Amino acid sequence: MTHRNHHEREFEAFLAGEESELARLYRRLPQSEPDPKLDAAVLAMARAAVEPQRMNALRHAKDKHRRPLWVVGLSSAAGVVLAAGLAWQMRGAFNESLPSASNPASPAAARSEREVIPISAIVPPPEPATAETAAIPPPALSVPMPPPAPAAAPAQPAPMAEAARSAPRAAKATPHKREVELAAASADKKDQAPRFETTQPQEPPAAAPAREALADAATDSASNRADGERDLARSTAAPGSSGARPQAFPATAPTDYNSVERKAAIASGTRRDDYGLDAEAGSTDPRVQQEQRARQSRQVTHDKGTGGNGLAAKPASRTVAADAAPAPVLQETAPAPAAASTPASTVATGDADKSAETELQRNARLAPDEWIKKIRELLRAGRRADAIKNVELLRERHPDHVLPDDLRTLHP
Amino acid sequence: MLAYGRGDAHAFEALYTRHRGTLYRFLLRHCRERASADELFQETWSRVIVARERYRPEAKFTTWLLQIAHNLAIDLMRRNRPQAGSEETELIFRQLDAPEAERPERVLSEFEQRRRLQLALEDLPDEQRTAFVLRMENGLGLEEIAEVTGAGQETVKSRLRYAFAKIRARFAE
Repeated sequence: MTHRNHHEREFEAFLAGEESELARLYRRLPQSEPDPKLDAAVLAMARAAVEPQRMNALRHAKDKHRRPLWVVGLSSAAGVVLAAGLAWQMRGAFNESLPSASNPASPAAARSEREVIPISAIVPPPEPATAETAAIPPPALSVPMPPPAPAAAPAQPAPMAEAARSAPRAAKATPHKREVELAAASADKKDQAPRFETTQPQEPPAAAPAREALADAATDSASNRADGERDLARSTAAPGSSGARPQAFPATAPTDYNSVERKAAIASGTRRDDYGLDAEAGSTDPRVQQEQRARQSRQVTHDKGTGGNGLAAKPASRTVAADAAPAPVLQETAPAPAAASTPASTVATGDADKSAETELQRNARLAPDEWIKKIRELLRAGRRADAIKNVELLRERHPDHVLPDDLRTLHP
Repeated sequence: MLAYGRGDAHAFEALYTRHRGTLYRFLLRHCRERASADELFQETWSRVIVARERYRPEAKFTTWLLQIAHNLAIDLMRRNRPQAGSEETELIFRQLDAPEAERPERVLSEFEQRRRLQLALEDLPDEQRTAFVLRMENGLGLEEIAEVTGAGQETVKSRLRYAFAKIRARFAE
């Protein structure tokens, strides 16, 4: 029983891992280990097993630092597209240069055409330019601007271009209902008409009156807006107005404005180069009436100087006939020296206008030097507006006369 | 082992260095001959390498390693039955290195004691010997031995009890 208990205690100590004679003896047993060759074989086997995995890991680590494949592909595609676009552009330029190479005189023209294209695209189109382009069949916008054809060369290109340039400025200076309407009207035509205003061979004459009305309205104050409205109403009602531009220019209109009679009248000063402002003859606008009276006075003066015959007689008489309704003809034929010498006596506004108009008509008959003296007197009297009108008329009547410096500032 | 499963060969080297001796001795004790022990040793590590990605740290690596070695040793013993005789056991003991720097009588006594212990282990049934070696060589407890051998803890304890009694009886002779 005691032996059995002792054996059981040793077994419990063995299970508990306590130090015992048996454990000590077991540790004395030979500590056999594998052969080094066996170690090398096992380690080589282990390395060989993980080598592909390690290579994949290294490749994966490198791929992390590498650019994504889609970026490379996208960059390549973009490069191809860019190269194709450049080749296409170069091909187009080469095709354009081919005919010019065959013609030795054409390279400059071709180069100028290529240079003109971006200019026409950048310059904002003048809003009223739609009427002038309506008479021209719209060419394709991609086609280079053709050189001005001699047959279509305008009779007066410079004034036309100047009027075309001044019209947008005037329209821009007066943010007005009329401007909005003109802009809307021009926007309707913008898609159909090319914008080659610098090379337009001919400008329809009806556009100039409308632009002049715009320019006048630009200088007027807000009180003159009603006048502008009436001008617009007249311009839209009259043939050649912006509201009816496609039908505004009859086939005979350019020949009328380029007629010898008209040019002679303009050159002689008996007629303003108003391009159809005569249609305003029946206007009730006081300003227009005043201008018309001035025109009548000039006509009377010219009639007296020329004896009422000659080439200028016809348009002058036509102007007088158109202005026959008001009374200025009677006034100019019956001068009122008292009113001219004492302008302060005119108390009522209507009387003042009449007297100033009469005085203007009277001064217009004077010699330039005398007229200038009168103008200076007006300035000294504080009547600057009247002095300006006299200067304008003096310039119109005597364009060859040198205007003194003190009056030159009055002339716009 | 997890590091080696991710491809770290150096982790395997560290693991191998730590367990190579105990595994080899376990197999040598189990097989009683070096050739079979070498074969089983290499086969055990080969199984470990192949199963590296399937390893889950649900138990100690030692337990998992010995479990593989034990299964291979069982398969080898089943192929090689009957077990080696006393002559082979004597040959194994002669091949084992004896401790040096010991007095001759002490050496003789120690050698005799180790010889008796070795003979006692050889006489043990395989299950009892395996359990005894796992306990003495690898320091496994009842639960771990049961896990390696696939037996219950009480069975393992009974095997250990019988193994311990037989060895004590051999020393008492």
